[in-house]
Amino acid sequence: MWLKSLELMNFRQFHGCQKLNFSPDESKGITVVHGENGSGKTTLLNAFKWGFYEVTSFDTGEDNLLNERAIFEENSGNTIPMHVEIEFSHEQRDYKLKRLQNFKKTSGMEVTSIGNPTLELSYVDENGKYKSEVEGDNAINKILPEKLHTYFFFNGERIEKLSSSASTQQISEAIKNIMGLEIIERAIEHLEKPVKKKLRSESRKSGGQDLEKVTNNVEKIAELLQGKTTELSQAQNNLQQYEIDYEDITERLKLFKESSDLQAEEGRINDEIVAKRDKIRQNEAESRTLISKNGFLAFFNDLADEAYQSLEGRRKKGELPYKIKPQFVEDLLEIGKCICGTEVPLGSDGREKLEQYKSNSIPGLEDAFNSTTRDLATIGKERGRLFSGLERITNLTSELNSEIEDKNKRIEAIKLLLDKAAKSNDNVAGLVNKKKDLELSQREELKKIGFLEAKVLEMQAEQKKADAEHEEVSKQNQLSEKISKKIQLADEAKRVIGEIYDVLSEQTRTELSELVNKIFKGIIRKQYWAEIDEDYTLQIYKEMPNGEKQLVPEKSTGESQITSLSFIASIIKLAKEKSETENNFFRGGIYPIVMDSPFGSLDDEYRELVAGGIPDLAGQIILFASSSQWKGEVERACKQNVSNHISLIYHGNLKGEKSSIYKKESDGYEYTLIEDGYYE
Amino acid sequence: MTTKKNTSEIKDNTTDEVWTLVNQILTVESDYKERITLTSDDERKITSEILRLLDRSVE
Repeated sequence: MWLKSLELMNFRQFHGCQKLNFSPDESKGITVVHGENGSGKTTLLNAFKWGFYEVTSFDTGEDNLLNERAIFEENSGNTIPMHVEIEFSHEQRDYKLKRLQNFKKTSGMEVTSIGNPTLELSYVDENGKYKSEVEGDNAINKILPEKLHTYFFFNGERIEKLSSSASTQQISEAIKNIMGLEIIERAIEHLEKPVKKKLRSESRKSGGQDLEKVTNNVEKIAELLQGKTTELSQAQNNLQQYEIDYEDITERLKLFKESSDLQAEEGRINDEIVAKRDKIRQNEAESRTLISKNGFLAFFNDLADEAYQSLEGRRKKGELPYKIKPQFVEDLLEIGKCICGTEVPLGSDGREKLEQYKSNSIPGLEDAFNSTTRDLATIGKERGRLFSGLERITNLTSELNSEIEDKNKRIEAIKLLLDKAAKSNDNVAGLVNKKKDLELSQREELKKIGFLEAKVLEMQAEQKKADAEHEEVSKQNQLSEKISKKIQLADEAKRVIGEIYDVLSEQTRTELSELVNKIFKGIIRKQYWAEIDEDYTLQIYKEMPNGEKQLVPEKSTGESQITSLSFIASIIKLAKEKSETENNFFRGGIYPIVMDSPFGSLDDEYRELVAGGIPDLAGQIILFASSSQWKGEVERACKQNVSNHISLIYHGNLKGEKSSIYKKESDGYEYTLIEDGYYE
Repeated sequence: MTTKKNTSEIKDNTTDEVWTLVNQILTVESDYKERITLTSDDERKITSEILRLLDRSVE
């Protein structure tokens, strides 16, 4: 896919109809859009999002998209159009997309929207024929999947959030999307719900009263379970949102001098608590391994020692192992002579004695005796090792728990200090209160999730029982035997599809994790490495002097940005690779990247390293940057690959600020003009 | 439950009858892979197609 142009009509600060043309030169894929703060770079990023998907990420939501000057200049009762038009090419077709929203001016600066935004998507195919897409949204989703859009239309200043634990769902969704795992999810859902419902209904019709009763029961449980599962998923989404909002507020609190240090300390302590909890989990796993391997030794008490003493006593007395070997007695009996030379014919007393020796000796007894006494001697040592190992783990865990307790106390103290700090700054007060509300909501939601998870488990057990009962009753009925077989087949297919789902998502996670690490290590200065953990968290690790792998709990903003950028680059790369693979599921695709201020928090060296990697991120890159972000190392690293420059010239009331090429006094209105070229 | 290592391993542990059915079901679903959300008509078509596949499997 290649973006050719973006046209805006009365969209935010872009008054009237204005257009940006991107270079068609595929050998130099970078277009740089220059603009100072407030000139509309983020608006352009959002224009892409609104045009393609009818979404934006403005802090003010989507209420104020229409340009103020356009409202002011129009008479009441008249219609004001707003649109975003994007031209792009994809697989030998030239597309034109137009999303339009009309407004009606009511009075003053008030407007109401007329209906919902409409989308027109047309293209000229490889034979030059003009065609219109009826299902525009689906066609766009095929070319640029909506669920992946945050990776190719992104704001660099907020990108570090991607590497926070709150983004695990986002990462898991991205993986699902690239692999086309939604298809597999849908298959599972179809088998579980409509297909089985239909089969059960058929079964009910064909069966007797008993069958109807058990079928109704199965239906009822399935419905209740579905309700609880939906509730649970809603609660998990709520919690996820609370976590994102909480992190956002935490970041914002770091911006105020009254709360900055406290907030940073709280963040650091929270990270340390997470690392300690991880360590406790590792200890628990180690303890489980010890118990499963040698736990039986704990029940031996003194038995092993007593058995050893008893065998040893019998050895000393000469009772064990039996001195005379059975083969030796056998040989004497065969030649009919005792060891002293006395003949022992059949029926003689001597022969009877020899027969007794034979029956008293047991084949293999000596070997068994030796190995048993040896094993019994080592059991005691192993048992000691088990207990000392468990004791060490218990002590370590209790130490960690006590450290966590101390850290929680410090967090409580920080909260009190934040309350104090809030008294001298209303903004901080507002954020601190919001944070408390969010903490409360998170706790409530966690409680709810815990309850619902238990309920779902309970109902799943009930469902299993009801299914078994249903199967049993169905089997008894000749007519429903065939349906019963179909239900079994549907269940089996669902199970296998579930396994395929697990395998494919795990494969993609591993593949993506390796790619992320490769890119990350190419940029980062420290001896760190990046991984996507099994729970889809993007983490940074380091190696301790003793060779142990250690989580880096507190990443700098720069390190978080680099981790996130590495993830984005990997997603784009993997999607491209998958688009070239023939498979029913893989979707993938060749995506451009539109990035707003991607170097915000990086120091000069990282800025240069990241900038050096930018040309390789994607075929086409549209980069929004202020002059301070562009000049220097970024310009040096990207220059060779830049095909064109576009400038955003802001006009407004500068209130004593100096006018410059990029910032000009206006006639009272605030607006931005788009110009080709770049003023150095 | 332990996660299997790859799809071949899953195939080896599945009967031919079920494996064929699974592939047929996934082929039906993949016809709708570009849909952002499925319409009720899509849902109806997919369901009846899967039911038809199940019918054929037990005949």
